[in-house]
Amino acid sequence: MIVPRREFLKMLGVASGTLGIGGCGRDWLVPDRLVELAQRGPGLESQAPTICGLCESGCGLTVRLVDGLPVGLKGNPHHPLNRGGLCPVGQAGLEVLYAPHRLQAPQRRGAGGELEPVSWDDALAEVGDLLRQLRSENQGSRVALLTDEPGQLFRDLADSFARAIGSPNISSTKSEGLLPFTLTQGIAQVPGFDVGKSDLVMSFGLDLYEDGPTPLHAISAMVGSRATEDRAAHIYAGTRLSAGSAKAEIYVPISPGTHGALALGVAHVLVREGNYNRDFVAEHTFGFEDWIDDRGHERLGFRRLLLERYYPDRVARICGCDAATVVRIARRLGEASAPLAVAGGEASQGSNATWTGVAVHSLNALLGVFDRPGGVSLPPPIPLTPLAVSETSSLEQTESIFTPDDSAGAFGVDPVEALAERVIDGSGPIALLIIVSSNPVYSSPAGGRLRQAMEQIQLVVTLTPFMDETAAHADLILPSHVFLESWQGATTPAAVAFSTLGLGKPVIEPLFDTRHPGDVLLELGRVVGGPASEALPWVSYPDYLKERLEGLVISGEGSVVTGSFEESWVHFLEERGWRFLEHRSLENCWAVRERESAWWNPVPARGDWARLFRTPSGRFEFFSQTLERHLREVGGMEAQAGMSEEEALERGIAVMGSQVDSDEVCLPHFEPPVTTGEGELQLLPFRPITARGRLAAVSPMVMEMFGYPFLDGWQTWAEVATETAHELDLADGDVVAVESDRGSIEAVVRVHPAAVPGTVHVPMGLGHDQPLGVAENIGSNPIEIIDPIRDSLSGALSLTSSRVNLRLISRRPHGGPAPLDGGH
Amino acid sequence: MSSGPLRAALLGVLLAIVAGVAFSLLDRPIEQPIAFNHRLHVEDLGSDCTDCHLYAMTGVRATIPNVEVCADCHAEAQTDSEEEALLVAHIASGDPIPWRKLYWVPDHVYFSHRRHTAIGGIECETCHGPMGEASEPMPRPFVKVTMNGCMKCHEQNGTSNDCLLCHK
Amino acid sequence: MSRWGMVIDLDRCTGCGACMAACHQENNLPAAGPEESSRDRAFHWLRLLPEVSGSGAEVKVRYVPQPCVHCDDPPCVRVCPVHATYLSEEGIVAQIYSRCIGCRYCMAACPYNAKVFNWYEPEWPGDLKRSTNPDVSLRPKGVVEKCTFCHHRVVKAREETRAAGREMRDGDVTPACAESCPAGAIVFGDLDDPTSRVSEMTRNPRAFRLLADLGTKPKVYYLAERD
Repeated sequence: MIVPRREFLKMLGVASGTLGIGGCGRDWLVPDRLVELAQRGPGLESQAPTICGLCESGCGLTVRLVDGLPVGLKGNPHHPLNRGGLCPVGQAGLEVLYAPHRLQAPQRRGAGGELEPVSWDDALAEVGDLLRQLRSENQGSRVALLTDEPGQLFRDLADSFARAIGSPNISSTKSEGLLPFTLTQGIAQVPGFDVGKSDLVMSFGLDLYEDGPTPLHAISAMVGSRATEDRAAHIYAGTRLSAGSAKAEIYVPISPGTHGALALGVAHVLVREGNYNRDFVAEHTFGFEDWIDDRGHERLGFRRLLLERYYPDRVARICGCDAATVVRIARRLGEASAPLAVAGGEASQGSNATWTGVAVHSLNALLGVFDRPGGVSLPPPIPLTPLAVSETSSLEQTESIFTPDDSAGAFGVDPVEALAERVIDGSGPIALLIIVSSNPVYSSPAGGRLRQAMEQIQLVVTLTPFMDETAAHADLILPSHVFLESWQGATTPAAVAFSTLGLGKPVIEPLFDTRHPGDVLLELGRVVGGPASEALPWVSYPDYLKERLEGLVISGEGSVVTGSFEESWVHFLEERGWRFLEHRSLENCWAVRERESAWWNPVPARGDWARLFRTPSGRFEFFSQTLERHLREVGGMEAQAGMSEEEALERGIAVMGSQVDSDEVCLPHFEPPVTTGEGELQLLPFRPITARGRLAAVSPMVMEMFGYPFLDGWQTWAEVATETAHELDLADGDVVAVESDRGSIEAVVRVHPAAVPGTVHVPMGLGHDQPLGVAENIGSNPIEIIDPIRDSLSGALSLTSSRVNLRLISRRPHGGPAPLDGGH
Repeated sequence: MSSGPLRAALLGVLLAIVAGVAFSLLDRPIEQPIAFNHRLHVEDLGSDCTDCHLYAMTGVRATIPNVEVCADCHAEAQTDSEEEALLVAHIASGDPIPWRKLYWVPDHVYFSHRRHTAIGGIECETCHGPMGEASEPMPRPFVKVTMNGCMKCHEQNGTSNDCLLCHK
Repeated sequence: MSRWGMVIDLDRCTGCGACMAACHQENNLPAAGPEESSRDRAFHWLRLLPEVSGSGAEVKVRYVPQPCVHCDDPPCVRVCPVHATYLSEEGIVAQIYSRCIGCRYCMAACPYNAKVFNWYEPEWPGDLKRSTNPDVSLRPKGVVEKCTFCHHRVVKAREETRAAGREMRDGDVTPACAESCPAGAIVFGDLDDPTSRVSEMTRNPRAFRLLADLGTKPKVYYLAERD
């Protein structure tokens, strides 16, 4: 924490120009050699490209070096994702690197619970011994791995590691939100949304320019790389108007969790007015018109469902908006030449998130935007060298701890919750838990349970550059490099339409005794020995990256990013084939990639419908046969044999807690959101751009501008509508307790005239109780008071379903920023 | 009794003493760890300034040569000078020589050697004086670096004296 | 001689805050900390000023990135008793910290609220000072500071072009805020050069200046949003 008052004498000390005085009584941590260089070097400038590792986007960075020392960061103008832009958290990269609270060496929890230093060799030997023992007893499945390290390249390595030690238990801590696409398109990935060529993006709940997998790409592709007259417009439907969503051409305030209904109302108008893509719907969709199934039963089609049940008046009642607005949006979408519909943010965090996702995605099918510029497609696969999959017999028989429980009927689980509950109830006797670049105790609503579970696990190892809430309960804390110190491979982020591979190389030698998680896994493989070390043959993580990249050279696809993104150039290459001519050897390719740091392939394979729609019908399924089969399985499993398929379906629907009829359930439909608790208001946590990634709170600068849309910093706010504030007799700046059935947090009221009455929005990202950075004990974490209920379809935990009350703690103190709606 | 003028006078005396002490502290002669002989290197051996001050033409700072640069010639002793022996020991151990700066500008000033030498065509001696003739380390700079000095030279050469050109 | 100016296209700005963060990093703005921030003493040379009209679905909210607008007739300069703040040859309203006596007259005179005062010695916990930009000095306690149009970049760019033996061109100087903007909303250049991008943009019918009727002649222009 910053101590505001400083004695005058200290000023004299600083003014004398001695660099040796550190703040907070700490000595310099960086090596003397570097300090000496900064003080006396010639001051020669250079630049090095790398990849930002602070969130899942993987934007391109250009690091400014003076005498080889990093002194500034900016966006890499050649990187296809961010094209020179860089978000506030990315700008703070150097503050993360030089942060005073970085972990400097491995630590081990002693018998009394206190942390003591341990050497890397001893630490890895301890993990290795346990791994060897478990393996020799054929108990590899008692190892679990949670990793949020971004990118496919690291994940592939972690998968290889898990396979090599015989564990099926590996997962990210987040649910990926891909189920709507699996149900409608039959694919196991989030498809690419070509916002760069769209002229109108209709966003349901997603703050396009702030949240989602790649907000900086959305800005640069929709606005930055286009002339002002050509920039993409967007429409935003949700419960809160963020700084970026304020740019929307139309803002549709709706009741929480009703995004799906609005999408269907818009679909109704499109269909009724004949404003949909008939050719596409006829050729590439399934279940639009009424149809007869295998057994001769007539089934309800999407068209009839829309026309009968989702007329604008009803939708307007559900959503709390105006029926004319629904019509207006539909007409605007119908007019657009390349419209797109996306769901995210609050819409993908509710108890009905998957249903909402399906409803929104069905708009894309009605508009027929698949497989065309400005539409939905799959990014070309990155031709990486495939990894040899070793033969492991025992693995196939063991069920992963992350496999959904049959009785719940969901397609998936919340990984953190599943792990915690199964450890606590004894059905998943995990002995070794490895957590990589993730802080689930803080970030997951099941974090409290995980903490309890961690006490039952023999050895919990965390790989992290900072002491966080999860590490605080681990047995072994292994410090990782900060991204600027390590090699990184960043692959295409979710929902991006082209494929990209960013290669980051270190711009500074590691300041402390830290290691890259990839190197730790490789070293563990060696310590375990036998098949584990054979399956992980690479000497180091960069060695591994190099081998995977060889595939790019052999394939000759894509191009190293070296120059401009002029449309004409891309067209030229599209017409004449996109070839990777200039780099025929691996060495050459590696060298160029090091210099330019990014490869991309912007040319999707057109007309490959079989790849785009991998459903039973080979089409976009308005009627999801995958879902129908699943529901029957779930229903049938519950009952005795001999049950009819219809009965099984009905039972499946009941298990799932769906509130609609069996003819409607497999079609895009509105499923009312479920809430918990008795409070007057609905709590909707959100992720502001100043809370991207895990490490934003490390930076004093980010904290200082944390609430910049309110000219505010260093505190958690509770955003409420003017009407709501009035009803509750609250004013901007008042300090309140946000109270749910689970607990209470403190926040400062911010009155926003555009928020939906009856909601309270609280930003995630503060309320750390560990010295993660300067933000220790600053603000509060809304996740703590969430009473988690599940999206019954995906199994993910909902963040937006808790009811809360606001209780006044103290009135607005004198001073501070002026209220948003009071100054004008 | 009115003590105003008396107090003012006392305060004045006190300030004068403080200022005097401060100045004498600031103006202490600079001692170098090794008695480097500029004259020997420049006049006698014919070295250029940039042979050792490597970045005088290209860098922001000219840089004071340290063991890596000195090692080019002095990895082994060339004379029986005691001072050279000190240097050779430094080179052998790899410990940087703690040279003290003779010429410096405050942190809030942007001074680029390149801007004055390579671009402006100014000789080293103009600001540094005849360093090449000094056979002993200088206890004080030949030419005192002051803002007045900078501005006078800028004026004479028709260069702008806008504050922002140097103040950062 | 250039006369530097800036145009900010509000139609493009998405309010992402990148400019604000880039300014912090480039200009070594220290963190004031929670207590001082709550008293409105946070260091921001560039802020995003929210402007709200209407409510509910009809609400209009826009964010106006506001650096020092570098007036051609700056009120702050007139009141400075020690010439610490002055209008430079190239039109930058400069703040010379070593002259500043901290009287804050200029802060009171500035109608744009563009200046901030160092109430305390800035804190750089641990190694954070290592992340500072060597081109910008660290201000001591007791002086006023403000946006400089990244004049150190102007100085460096001129040095580079002279070393390369050529004249300055439009686009040679980009302040940190403009460089970081993913929307390309901020453009910087020479207002006296009629062919520069900024000159061209100031002739756009959407162009306006903040508090133009005060006669301060700001050199930061805004382009209003299109309807």
